[in-house]
Amino acid sequence: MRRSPVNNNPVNSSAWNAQIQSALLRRHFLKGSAMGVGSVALTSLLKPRLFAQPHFVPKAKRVIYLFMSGGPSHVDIFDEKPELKRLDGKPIPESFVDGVHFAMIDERVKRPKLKASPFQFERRGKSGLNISSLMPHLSQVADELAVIKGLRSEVFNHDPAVNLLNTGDSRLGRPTMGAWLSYGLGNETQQLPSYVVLTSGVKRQPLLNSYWSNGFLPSEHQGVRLRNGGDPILFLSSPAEIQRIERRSQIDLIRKLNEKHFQRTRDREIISRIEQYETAFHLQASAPELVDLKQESQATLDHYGADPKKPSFANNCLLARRLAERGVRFIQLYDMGWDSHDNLFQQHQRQCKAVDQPIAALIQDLKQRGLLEETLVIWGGEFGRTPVIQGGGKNWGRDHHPHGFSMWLAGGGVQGGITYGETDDFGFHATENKTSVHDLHATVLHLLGIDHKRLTYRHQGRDFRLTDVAGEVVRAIIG
Amino acid sequence: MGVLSLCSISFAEEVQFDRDIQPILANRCFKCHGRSEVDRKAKLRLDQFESAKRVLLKSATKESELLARVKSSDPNLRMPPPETGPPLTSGEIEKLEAWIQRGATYTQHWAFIPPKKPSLPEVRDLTWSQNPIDRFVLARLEKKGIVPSPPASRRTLLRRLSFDLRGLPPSPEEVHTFVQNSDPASTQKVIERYLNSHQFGEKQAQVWLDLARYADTTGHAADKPRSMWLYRDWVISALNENLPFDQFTLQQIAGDLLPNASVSQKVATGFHRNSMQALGNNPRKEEFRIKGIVDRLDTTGKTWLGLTVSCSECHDHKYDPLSQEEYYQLFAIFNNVPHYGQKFGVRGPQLKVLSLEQREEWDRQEALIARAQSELNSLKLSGNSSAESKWLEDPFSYFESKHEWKYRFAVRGEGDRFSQDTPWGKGNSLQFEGDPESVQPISIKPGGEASFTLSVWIKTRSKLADIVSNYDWRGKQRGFVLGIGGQRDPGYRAGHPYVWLSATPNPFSGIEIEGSKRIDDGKWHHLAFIFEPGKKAQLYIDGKLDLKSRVKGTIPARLAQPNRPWILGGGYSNSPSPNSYFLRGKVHDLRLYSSVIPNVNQLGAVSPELRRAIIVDERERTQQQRELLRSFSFNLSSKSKRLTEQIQRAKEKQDKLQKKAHTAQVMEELEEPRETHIHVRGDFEVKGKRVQPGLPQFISIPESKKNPNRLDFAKWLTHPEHPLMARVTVNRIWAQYFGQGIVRTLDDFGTRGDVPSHPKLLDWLALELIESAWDVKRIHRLIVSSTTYQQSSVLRKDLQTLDPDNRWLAQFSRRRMTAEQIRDLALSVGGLLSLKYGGPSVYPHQPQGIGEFRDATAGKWKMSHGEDRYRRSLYTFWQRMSPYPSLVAFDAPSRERSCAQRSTTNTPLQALALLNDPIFVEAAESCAQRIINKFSEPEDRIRFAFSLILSREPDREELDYSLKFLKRWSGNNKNSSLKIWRSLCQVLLNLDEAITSE
Repeated sequence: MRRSPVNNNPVNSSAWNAQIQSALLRRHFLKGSAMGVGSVALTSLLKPRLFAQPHFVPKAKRVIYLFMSGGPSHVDIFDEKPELKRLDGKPIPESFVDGVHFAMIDERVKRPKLKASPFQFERRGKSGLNISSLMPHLSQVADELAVIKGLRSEVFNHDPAVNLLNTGDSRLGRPTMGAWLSYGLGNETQQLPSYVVLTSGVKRQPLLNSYWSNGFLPSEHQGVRLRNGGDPILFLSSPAEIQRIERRSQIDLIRKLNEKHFQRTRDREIISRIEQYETAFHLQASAPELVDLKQESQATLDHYGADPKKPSFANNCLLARRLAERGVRFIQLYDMGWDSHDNLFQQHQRQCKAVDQPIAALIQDLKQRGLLEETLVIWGGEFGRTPVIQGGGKNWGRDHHPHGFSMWLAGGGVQGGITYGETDDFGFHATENKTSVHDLHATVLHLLGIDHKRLTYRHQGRDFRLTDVAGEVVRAIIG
Repeated sequence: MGVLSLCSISFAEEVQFDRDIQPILANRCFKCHGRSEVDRKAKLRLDQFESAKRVLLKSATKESELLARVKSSDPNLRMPPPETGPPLTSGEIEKLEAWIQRGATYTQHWAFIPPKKPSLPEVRDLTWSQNPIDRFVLARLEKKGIVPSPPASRRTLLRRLSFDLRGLPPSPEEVHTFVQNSDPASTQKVIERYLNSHQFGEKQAQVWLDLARYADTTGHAADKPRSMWLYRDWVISALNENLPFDQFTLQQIAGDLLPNASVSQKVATGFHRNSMQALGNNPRKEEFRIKGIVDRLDTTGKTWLGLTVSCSECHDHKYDPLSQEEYYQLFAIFNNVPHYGQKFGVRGPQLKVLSLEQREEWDRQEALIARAQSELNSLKLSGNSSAESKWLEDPFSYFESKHEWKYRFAVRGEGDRFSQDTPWGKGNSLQFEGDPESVQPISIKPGGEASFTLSVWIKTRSKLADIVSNYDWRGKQRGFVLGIGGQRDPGYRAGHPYVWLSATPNPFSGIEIEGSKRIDDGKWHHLAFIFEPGKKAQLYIDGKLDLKSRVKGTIPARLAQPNRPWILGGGYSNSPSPNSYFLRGKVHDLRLYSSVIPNVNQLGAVSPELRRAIIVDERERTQQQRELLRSFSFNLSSKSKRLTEQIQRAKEKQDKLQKKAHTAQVMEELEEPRETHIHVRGDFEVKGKRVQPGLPQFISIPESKKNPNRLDFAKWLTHPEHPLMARVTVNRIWAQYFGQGIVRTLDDFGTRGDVPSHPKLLDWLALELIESAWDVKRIHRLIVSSTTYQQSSVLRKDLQTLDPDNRWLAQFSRRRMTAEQIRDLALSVGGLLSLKYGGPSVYPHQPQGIGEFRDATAGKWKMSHGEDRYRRSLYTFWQRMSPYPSLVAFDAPSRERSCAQRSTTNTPLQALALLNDPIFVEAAESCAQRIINKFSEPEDRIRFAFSLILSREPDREELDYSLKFLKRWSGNNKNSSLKIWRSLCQVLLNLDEAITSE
């Protein structure tokens, strides 16, 4: 994690102390400039360009990305389609499915049947945003949401689609958005990593380390997953017999011996390592404190529907707020279990029930604390679900659907209570104001004060970007 | 930008196109004015003189347009335009100006011209150099007026050599001896010892395995385990045996295509089988096959060519002279590997390979076979006419005489159903009509604990029929059935022979066998079945034990005796009389014996030729037919029979070994090459122009073949005149020791890559590698024996301004160790490290819940026991989607893709891992135990801890610090001195010095 090199535990005043301090200052200076740090051991040519300042005044400082892993159904939550109701059970017109690949629907079914949403839509809030009965709590904050309804991609399998949403490329190996932001903006906090991942839900699709990968960026920009059981951060706890006071004295001895060695070798990497041990020591205290939800009032817990004893998406939303308060740059929540190939009726009710109240509470809570305007909240899956039916009978479901689906953004300089883009009469293809994943990324970076064309990293002779070679900022949703 | 500031030139020096100008053009201009037609603006190409001269040269009336544009302050005129990038620096403009003044000559990019052996440069200080490397380095330093550093201390040098060559710390004893003996020859001796240790290959393998993206799982969502470790072991032993680098390359790219390829050469091709493979219910198989090839080209480019070939997957390379068409010509070379299976079973070719012990057992059996075979051959020469004549009288009496009861279904009679259509051309066969009337009773009833052997000839087109049966499952009267098609039970295939044999009439308890070959082709086939209770249940088809039968269940200790009679020509279905699965076809010569007839197979082994030789009249037998008969009858003589049985047994043992063998993933070549097309914009479904295999034009190698295959490609790579491969290779080896390459972009020697700091040294090393017949250890030895390498790493103040990146090597660079080295160090000082060499990957301890959200197919982390918990880190099971956490913490890559150089970071998570990961805690405790056991005085113990972990003695202050620490905590914690010493060992293990090679 990147931290500004403020020394919390000044070492004893000695001649060397002054030299260490000046090394720290120099290090700070180098990091702030566009030059790489001149440490001999590192591949300084390849060292990242760091942005002491964003490219322009940011609207948002951080991101909370609520990732509905498996793919929530847009036509059942945000994208009401009366035509679907009218033609329920009829085969979809051929023109819609021409050249379309489905993931699971039998290829021999040339024209699968349209399926109306069984959920009631209603106009919500002052803005009259259309949201179905699956999300009653979210409806209370409808005026905060900018729903993008014309998202589209061509990637219809989970793993590549998640990669696309995270990295701008369906293949493995590129850095994720969180890593790009950690690299581009650094961190606001010394005590926590800049990129934190939380997980919850019913396991259906795997969650892979590559979903929070640094790709070809230096590995310090990798996301750190807070675990639901045991140590919240891997290897956080000291061995059982080592009390905190003894650990302090270990760290002190490590520092003293490292300082002596710095005298011998004059390598500033040693100073950096001394800092990292201090941070680690603080993390050992601050991380358990961070994840200790018992510190929250019962009212707050009830508001989110959180229960400190049981891991849940609600707990993670509350944790997200705590992380946001502490200055973590990119917080990503994965909620598993949205892949409703069958039993969509029950499964989507279960999934929505688990996320609806906590998300609404998160937005209200952020707002109340004055954090919403500087925190961009993103909601969405790797794709939507087909307006046509998969299977049949009571257990009907919907297949993967990347050709037109919905996501929403809130806070962080986004205009609330609006929709942007449209799909056709069935919710099949994006038709109006189509938004690509690159456009979405460009918009997110823009809100954080970054010109997506200028956040680059030289790798293998090429300057890579999160948005690859595309991306237009969706200005219509910016408040 | 680092590149240019580093090589700012004085104009006393000649401007060189490739060093000074090309990087400017490539970085700042080629994007819009390069090779790519699609991106070209204003129809201007700056990468070749002819098309560029109109803007480069000044005319009578005009200044150079290019210079005017780059100098302009008008945003509408300035190049590059503001949205593309900042203006050129004044240094860059000066260079361009100087170049244009001298006529703007283009030369080929330096890396695409084969290296020439440079003469050794003159140096003023003649005492400094130990070998030619030093001459090149010193010449440059002298020119820059920089003084090199003094040599590292003996103990630092030994620790450096030990970690760099074998990845492990030196023992305190080694340090002691080495420090005592300052003779330079002793350094050389240590270098040789390390170069020749097993640990050398293990250490070097890590770098290669990163390039090879070696992992033990398939990657992507499914991330299934895949047996790859044989390839990893191949790499280690190839490095240890110092396999010449051209061979090392040839075998990995095309070992399978070498003439008479050995198993080891085939295993080597695992290099390119490390590509990830998507598995599952719906990934498009072809799409991911294509992605695999793209990955192979990317990896080949990084590993051997130092080129970013992947740029040309979708369009012509913007900076280097590789067109999209050439990319797909290379693609065509790699496009012919078979791709099998569906869904979760998609895979490339595999090879069964024996482990070392298995190989030894195999060789023992092979020797046995050879001995028996040679005895047989000499017997054959001496002849054995009596056995022959006896056998000819009645081919079968020979086996039968010894057996008590036997049953022979004599086909004698008259009527339409009898015919002389038999496999022998004599005797009769009986036609079965697929009706109840055709069924024949069998008068005996095998069963109980008795063995039996059944033999029958059959000619049928029935896909579903029972032949011999007393088996009625509906009536709960199970026994034995031999038939075809398995009564259409799930999983049974039409036309295949099968046997069911149950120990009890109800429920089923016994064995199911399904033969691997169809017999419903309307030709004569021989079926035999041998049952020896609890021991043997074997199906023979056409005289051969059917090794590929599908077998379910176990061999029962008895055969049930249901109340259904044995019949021929049909089966039962809930009734005491035959009423189902009637046979349509001919039967000849059914026999049943009350024992195991080991040679029963020979009844059917009779080939059609031999059958003809038997039935033809003796006087008409040809010489060939007589030979055939002679050798067959000879095989029946008792001595030869014994030998034949010996061979048979040995072969069975070999078969069993083969079944237990390990699987290697290998490359193979399809007989019919696939068609290759350009994929328009890299989309695998949009096929453009068809292309043939071919090699890039910009590298001209004599004798390159037309229509090259993988082997030709590998030969092209390893050709001594190839400009890239040797340079890329020595540069990568160099980077292992100095932390950065002579060219710092290890995997990009193209026009956008780094400019070499010591171009002549690079060429000298490259030619040294080529001319030494690709002796890789020679390069390692040269580097570590150089004065340059053996300098002190103490950072010099003057160098921080003169050469902050240490490009000119006036000192050695401290380097944090790799993840593997750090873990191996801890295990080693704890005395825990196992030096077991090679073998399947291991599962050392990792915290619960790692990879908990991986796919169900991905398999569990099955913790290893015993010494496998403490193996060298490179043997850790490499799970791409959830790699071993304490390796990841220290920048080990996930190996989804090829990685030429790891990043080196310094994070608090590393501090947490090193302080708290149970394996590091255990190592510290074990180290503490060693210290306590060896010494009783605290100061001695501290000294020993320092020498174990840091390879040096503490100074007074360090001793005092440590004593103070111990005193403070022993007061609190009287009972556990081990824990206090563990605390101190932890401290030492967490020092920057401990995990840094200095």
